[in-house]
Amino acid sequence: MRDAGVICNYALFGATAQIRYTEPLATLDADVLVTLPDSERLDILRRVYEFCEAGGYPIDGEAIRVGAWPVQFIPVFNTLTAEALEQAETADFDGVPFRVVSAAHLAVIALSVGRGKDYARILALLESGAVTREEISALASRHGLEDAWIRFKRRFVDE
Amino acid sequence: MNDIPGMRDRQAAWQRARRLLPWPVKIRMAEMAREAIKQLRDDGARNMAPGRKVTELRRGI
Repeated sequence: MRDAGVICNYALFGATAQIRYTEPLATLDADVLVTLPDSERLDILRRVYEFCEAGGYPIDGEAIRVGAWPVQFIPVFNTLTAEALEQAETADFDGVPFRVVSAAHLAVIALSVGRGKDYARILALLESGAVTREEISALASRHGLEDAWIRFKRRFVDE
Repeated sequence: MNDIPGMRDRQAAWQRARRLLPWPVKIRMAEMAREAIKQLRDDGARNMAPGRKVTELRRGI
């Protein structure tokens, strides 16, 4: 997709990225952050859908079905997700290089979203040792999420 | 005296060890869990369909 100019760059995030760092967990879909050549279009993902469909990957609601997985392409939506994509790590998946959002960015994206399952993700990443409190704190501060981190820490880590 | 604390510790250690498995292996485990959840949801939706009687459920209809 990058070679065809459909996307500029990508990185896996969400639960399938989390699984790289923690115990496996059940998830229903795979989320991929993308940057697109023309991010001002209203139908921003149209070329992605068309490209995948032409390649034999059917559209499934808002996702593209790749094997057993519905894959959702999500354009970067703020400076945090843009940085997460930019600084993603390259992981090996059965010999195939695959860009995956770092544990610190996953944790801070989860902090910014703030649902119960996002908080569980932060705790799992901390418990796995993939990220430290200090790394989350520094990244959260840089993206205006210092208060959210303090609240999270008070509620789930300090007690 | 039983070995429940020991079992619990071994289970926790086993769960922690899963974290260290290669990423593709963990993704395949998630795929299996995904299918199981989907199956349970489908079964649950069918069993909870309006109009089904308890006797039908008991008979597996």
